[in-house]
Amino acid sequence: MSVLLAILLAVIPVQDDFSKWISQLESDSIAEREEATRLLYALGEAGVDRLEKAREGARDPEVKARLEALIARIRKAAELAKILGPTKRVTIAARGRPLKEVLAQVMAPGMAAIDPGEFDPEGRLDLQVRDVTWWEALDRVARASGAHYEIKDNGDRRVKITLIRGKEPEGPVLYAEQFRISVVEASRFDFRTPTGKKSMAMIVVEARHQPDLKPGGRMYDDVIRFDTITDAKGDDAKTLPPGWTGSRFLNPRMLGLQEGVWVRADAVLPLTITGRTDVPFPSETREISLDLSGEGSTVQAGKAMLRAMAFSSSPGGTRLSLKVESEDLPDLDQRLIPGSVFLVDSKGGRHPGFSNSSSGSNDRYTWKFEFTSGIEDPRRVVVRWVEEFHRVAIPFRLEGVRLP
Amino acid sequence: MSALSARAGTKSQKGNTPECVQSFVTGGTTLVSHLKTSIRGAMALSTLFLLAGPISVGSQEASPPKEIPRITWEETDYLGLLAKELELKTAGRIRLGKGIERKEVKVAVRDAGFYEVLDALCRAHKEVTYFIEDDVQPGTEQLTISPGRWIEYPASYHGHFKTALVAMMKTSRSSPEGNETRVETELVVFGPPWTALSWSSGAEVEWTINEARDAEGRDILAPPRIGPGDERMGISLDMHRSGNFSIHVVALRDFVLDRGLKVLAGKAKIRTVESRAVRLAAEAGATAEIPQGTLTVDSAKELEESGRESSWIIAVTLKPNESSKELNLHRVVGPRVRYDGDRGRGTYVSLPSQGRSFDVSTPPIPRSPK
Repeated sequence: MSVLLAILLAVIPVQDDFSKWISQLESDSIAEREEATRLLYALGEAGVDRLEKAREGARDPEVKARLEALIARIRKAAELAKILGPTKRVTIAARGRPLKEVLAQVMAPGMAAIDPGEFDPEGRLDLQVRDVTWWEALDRVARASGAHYEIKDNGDRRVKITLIRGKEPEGPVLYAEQFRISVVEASRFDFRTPTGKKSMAMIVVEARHQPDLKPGGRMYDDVIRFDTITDAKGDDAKTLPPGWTGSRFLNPRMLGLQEGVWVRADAVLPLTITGRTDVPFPSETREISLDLSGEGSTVQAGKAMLRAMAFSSSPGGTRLSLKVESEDLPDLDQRLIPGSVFLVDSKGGRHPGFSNSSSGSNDRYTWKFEFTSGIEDPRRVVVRWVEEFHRVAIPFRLEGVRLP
Repeated sequence: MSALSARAGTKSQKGNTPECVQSFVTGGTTLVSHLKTSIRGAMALSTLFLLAGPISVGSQEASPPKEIPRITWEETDYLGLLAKELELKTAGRIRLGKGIERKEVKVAVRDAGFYEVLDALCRAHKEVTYFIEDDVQPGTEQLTISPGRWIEYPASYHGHFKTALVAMMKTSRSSPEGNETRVETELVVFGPPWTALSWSSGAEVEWTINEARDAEGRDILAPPRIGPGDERMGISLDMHRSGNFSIHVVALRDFVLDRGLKVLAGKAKIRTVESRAVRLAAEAGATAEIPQGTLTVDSAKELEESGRESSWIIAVTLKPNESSKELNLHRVVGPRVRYDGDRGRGTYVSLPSQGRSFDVSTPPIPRSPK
């Protein structure tokens, strides 16, 4: 009997509410549009043909744009799976189950520890999610508990997530396989001097990656690229950085890759933001060893020439500069893997180095490292060097963004 | 497979080294001034500022290195000539920038400090200033009168010093952690020309804010729950201007900017230093004796560059004497370094918060001029 049922299920065409979801994309409610987007996205590559037909038939340019973004996301998901491996997916069917058991379903080897924080781990929870991404599962558990969460380093770069009382304010969130893309901060700055008033706003978009992924290189600049910021009137809300402030500082959280964009303070809300991620993941790395005897050595690593120089050792500390030059290798400054530089002594002992400054240009870059003092007979320095990057570009469209 | 070569990465031939490194070493007299500052009616609408009531000032706890008398003076003449006259009265150098409109102004002050007189001159001229709001280019640290609209900042004067509130910025922020609003105020203490206050002079200013009230008299002194640096991305109010002053940003609770502050009161404790330049040969083993111990060059490495220029990394260690063992490096060595072969431009060193060693890294400079 069960065999017959399985055969029947396999031959009966998939019944879904495709047409209903497509028309729901025109809804005035952001929540309804997002729900429809989520359900259409869940169709995966198998649904791309139908989505393309719907896009061709769509008369509303907004719906057309949403379908375009959706198709791009589905194709991107297939591409990401090839680069980063399969997305961790979660199914939870909880009816009156203890919070600790629900959290256990989200935790997995290599992912993050999740602490219920001030919540009773025995507290009961109702939650139904089916085959959602890891980030969506975590968000849904937090929301069902009446919580938001903070992500911190648990020591040794291990990730610890703690639930905190109070739901996160509603806002546009995009779950794209191993990533969660959202607006994590919106700020308005009102400036006063005796000569006048000035105002400006900033939106920070963050792409959180799954805890088991390790992006490489420099992750602070241009990891998020903005294409358009449009206000409710359809006007361009993007603007240049103001000249009346000091320096801009970044304070990203663990697992978060972020970038801010300046926005006119008088933009008519809400805003729609489109862009894409540009996150480098090392795809090919190699360990390079540079001799310290004499006056240092050079090593050719593909198109780059690495050189150890200005090695000095004194009671105050041990210092070394590492310079790389290449005329046609892009992103030189992103190719040294942080935490991968060690001085090796004559007994093979490895002593970690810490970069205290770096500088350079497109074709040459220098890092200065400090090591602990008292390293006996240092012989060589080893570094891990990225020869190839995969750059993960995920298109995003965030609607309903508001300023404080 | 890559080739491992052993090409020399550094050079230390004597003929190519810059002849010496100059390091400003602080020492000698320490002047500690306590300036009590009270700025009232501060920064309401755009240009409307009031300095109401008597301004609370306290006495200096230490004598300045030079006793400059307070000034009673009434005269009418060209601004440049009056500035020179003020130099003579105070022995403080005042630079005059190019392009100042030649205009006759009147000064009339009684028992005034240096900045009360200088402000009277600039106010009378209207088109000169010594604090340029949006000047973020590295410029001179000496007091300079330049063309520019005179701006009346809410200020208080104490002795020959002046404290002013130059800008305020409200940050309203929404994030997963919640919504927050705070106001940062940018305070500046100006030092007279004979008291170096700039960052590179090694002077330190310790600010204490005792009272902050908004226009309704509400206490806004308690710091906001989330301060600068807690956000994912922010901007600093301090624009890193150059001049003989020290800037401090204070975070306050939210208030209505357009209605301004009723009072902002506090104290700036200034620790100035007298410094002297010490010349140190850029050769491993070279030493220079200073009152706090001995400076030794650990190494001087040339980083090979193309063309006729090289940059250098010169590692220096301080060996303190018995009486200076507890002193932090920042209390002994100033941040500015000059070297031969660079037309005196020099560079700034990043002094570590711990330890006794630091590196002087030069930008590419012509190889040894000698």
